[in-house]
Amino acid sequence: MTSRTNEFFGLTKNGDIDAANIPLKRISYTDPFLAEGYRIHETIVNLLVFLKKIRGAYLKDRTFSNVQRLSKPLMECSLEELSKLELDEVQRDEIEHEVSSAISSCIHQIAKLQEIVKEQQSQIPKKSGWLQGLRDPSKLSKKETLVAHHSSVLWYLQSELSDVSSVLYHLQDLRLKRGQEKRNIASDFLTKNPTDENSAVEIPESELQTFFTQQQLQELEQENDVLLQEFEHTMERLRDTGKSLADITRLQSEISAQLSIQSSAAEKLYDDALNVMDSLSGGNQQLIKAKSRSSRTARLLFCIFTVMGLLLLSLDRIV
Amino acid sequence: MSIASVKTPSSLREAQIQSLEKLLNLNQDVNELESSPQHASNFPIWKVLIFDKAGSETISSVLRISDLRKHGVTVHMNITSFRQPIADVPAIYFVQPTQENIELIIEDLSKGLYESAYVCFSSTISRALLEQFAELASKTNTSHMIHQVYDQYLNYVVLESDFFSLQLPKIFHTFHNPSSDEALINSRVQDIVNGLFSVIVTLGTIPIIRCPQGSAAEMVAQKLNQRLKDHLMNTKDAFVSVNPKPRPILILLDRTVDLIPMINHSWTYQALIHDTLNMQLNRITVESVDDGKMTKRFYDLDGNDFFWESNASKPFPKVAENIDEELTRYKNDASEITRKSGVSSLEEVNVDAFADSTYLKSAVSLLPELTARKQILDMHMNIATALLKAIQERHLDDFFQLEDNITGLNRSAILACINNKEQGTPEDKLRFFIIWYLSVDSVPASDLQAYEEALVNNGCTLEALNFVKRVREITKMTMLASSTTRPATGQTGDNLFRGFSSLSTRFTDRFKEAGIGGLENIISGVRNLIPFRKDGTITSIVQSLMDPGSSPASKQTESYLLLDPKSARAITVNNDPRAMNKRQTFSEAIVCVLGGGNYLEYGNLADWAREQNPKKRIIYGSTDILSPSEFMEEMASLS
Repeated sequence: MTSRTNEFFGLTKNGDIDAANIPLKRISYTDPFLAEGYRIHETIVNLLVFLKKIRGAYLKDRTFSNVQRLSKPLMECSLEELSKLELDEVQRDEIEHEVSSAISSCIHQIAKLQEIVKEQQSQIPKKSGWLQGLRDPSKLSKKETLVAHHSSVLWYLQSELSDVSSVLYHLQDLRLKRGQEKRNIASDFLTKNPTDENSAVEIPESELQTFFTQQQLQELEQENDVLLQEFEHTMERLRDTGKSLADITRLQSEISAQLSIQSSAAEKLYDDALNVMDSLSGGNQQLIKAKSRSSRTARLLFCIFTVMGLLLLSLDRIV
Repeated sequence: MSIASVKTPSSLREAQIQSLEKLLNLNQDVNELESSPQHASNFPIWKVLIFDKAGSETISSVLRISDLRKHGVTVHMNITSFRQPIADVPAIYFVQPTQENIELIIEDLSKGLYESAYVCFSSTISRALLEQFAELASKTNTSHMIHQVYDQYLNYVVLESDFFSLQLPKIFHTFHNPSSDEALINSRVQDIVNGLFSVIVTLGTIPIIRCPQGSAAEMVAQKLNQRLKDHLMNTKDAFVSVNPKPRPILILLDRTVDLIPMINHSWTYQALIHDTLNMQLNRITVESVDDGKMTKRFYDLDGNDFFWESNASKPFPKVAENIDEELTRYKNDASEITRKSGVSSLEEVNVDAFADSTYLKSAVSLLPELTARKQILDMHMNIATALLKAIQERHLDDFFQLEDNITGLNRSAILACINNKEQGTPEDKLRFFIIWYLSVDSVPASDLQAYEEALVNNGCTLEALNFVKRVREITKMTMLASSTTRPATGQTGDNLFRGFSSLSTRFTDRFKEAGIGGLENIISGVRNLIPFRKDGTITSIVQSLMDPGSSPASKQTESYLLLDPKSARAITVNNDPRAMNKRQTFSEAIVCVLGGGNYLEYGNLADWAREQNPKKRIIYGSTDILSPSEFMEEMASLS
């Protein structure tokens, strides 16, 4: 392709327009729907950028955090800053929670826009009934165009949202998998250890007193409790992660369901519009036919009346 | 003109899609926009697309509505239709550079239908028209609303990965009609040059041009050569000079070089569809009668259709087998999911019901893929059903079998075919006869009269034959010198007429399961023909030009003109030994037939290219893609 823009502006009367400096994007919008659409879009883009930037830190195998060292909130940090970041498990959970609640709020906002489109759609009169002929076709078409336009905007937002949600899902999935692998390695190690060390001999409970003092036993019990608690805590977190994964998948399926509904609705609208165009052109052809037919009839009638008139005249003369 | 892109497209279709995506993103680099959301936020996302008929044909053959939406196009409309204003959005105009279109754009802007306009002309806008456009914009004070004016070089349609059409109808008629005046021929030649120039720009390399001497192809070649030279001189940048890709050869041919492929009864899936069903710009229309009511079904074919991609050029019985295999594979995959999830059918799968996230994950990722696969297979089953009906109604297998061994037929066999009332339409009979007439050396006058009488008695009109009689000598000269027949590898004559029996039982079972019944009778009448691959005249010519010396047609193509737009010499003299190397081998060719092309020829060339070692790449195109019926009509109009 070749740009002819500068050549074009050179030929216009106000040839001093600088093609490179034309503001491409508006700052304010007269259509509130579009303004809201752009706002949601920006939120989604920010989320996507954030997820891309935090990916490294999120998947790093660390258990201590240096979040407090950051100068700005997480979302506003640069890639360099976030690449040095280290997170613990709780903070990872927090990030997940934050992003998924942002996604939920976007879904909520999109749903509101959807309501608006539905309302606009309900205002479009059905294409049947004898009153149809009396309606102003240009007005009808304006509403339809607007609904199609807004539906596409919604489709775009939902598709973007679905992308962000799948990015989050993949991150979580990866984290879960890595966690699982780590646990597998640890458990392998633990189960292998006793067999490797043949010296480990099980001591019957009755003889414990002879091997350990009371204090040592108490300490061991406490340690055991702590270990058990830790294990339970890990299990709980595992369940939570599973649950949030399920949540995300549900969100995703919801979004994709919405997407398919939306796209089928928009495609239906487009087909309707095409049908209208077809029937319009059919109608035009009919009109042209009707016109030619009526002109033919008029000519025929004219001829008949002329002949009859002449006949009458001649009869009048004869009589 | 900048051709540089991050990812090198592997086919013409991919290259065109890349160009179109750039157009839809206000001529910004799509990769850059995707990788940098901050950069992307400087541009409006949502826009309206306005195109003319040619623009819509170009876009609709490679992009779907969802692709347009993905690039932020909310609504797309025809420039001539009555349109309503849409606030706050820019409009992309993808139109031909015509006076009418620029007036319509200015009218839209004066009415304030859209916020701004990005004008993308499908081919180069002339300086005079651009001046007029600027003047109109100044007069109406709308020039500030026009943000971009671009020449896009996209005035052609891509139907398959390397198959294009310039969408210029009636070229064959114009070039062979004695009443066509010079001005008309020149303007059509200019149109062809414009289209081919666009294809070359999209591909991004300057080819070496070869064409037969003293033909319409030569006129096109000379003008195209000059156009490319001018362009290289005027734009010092890009194009090819820095492109390390090996240069392709552009072979320009007249349709009269070989008429047979245009009217042949072919047996490959895509050629059969094009012949028997209504197929326009990758949209197939199947008409069926349900409860006495005529219903039309539309099926769109695209690059994402895995079945079409792998089966389009295969013989129909093989395709039927493959549908069967794919259906079995689908059923197995579906039952695998249902078995794991414990529900009895795919429709009952409910993602919420899963407690285990691994099943959930596999189901979520597999379900859309399976549904899409089922939709594609359903579509192909419906198409195959319609094809089977057409094959049986017209006895196309008989015609195919006869044409496969056309030179071996005697007078009685030909008359028997023509006089068989149950076999084929009058047009099928005429097509068969013309193929025979073009394939044999001489026909005694008395025999010809008998054949003509038989044809007329069977309802044929002889206009097309009369035209063929006129061009027979020219066509025969090129055909005889080059046509070769050789069996395809791995196929023996035994399976040529193998019955459909073993296949039909499995095939019908699948169709019954899928709810398509009543096929047993249809299939039982159709033979399982696996054709020998024949290299047509055009394939032989291409072979001799890409690999000089390897084909018996080499002697004939030796005399072809050779033009190099990069060379300083104006025109290479044919016999000049110092001229460019005619013995050069090429790995890539662009073949353009002036006057009509079809899927059969594309399939033949693609098969040949695939069989070469190392593989060759052939981009095939024509001024227009014509079904056999359309081409017969065009020939008849020249009688």
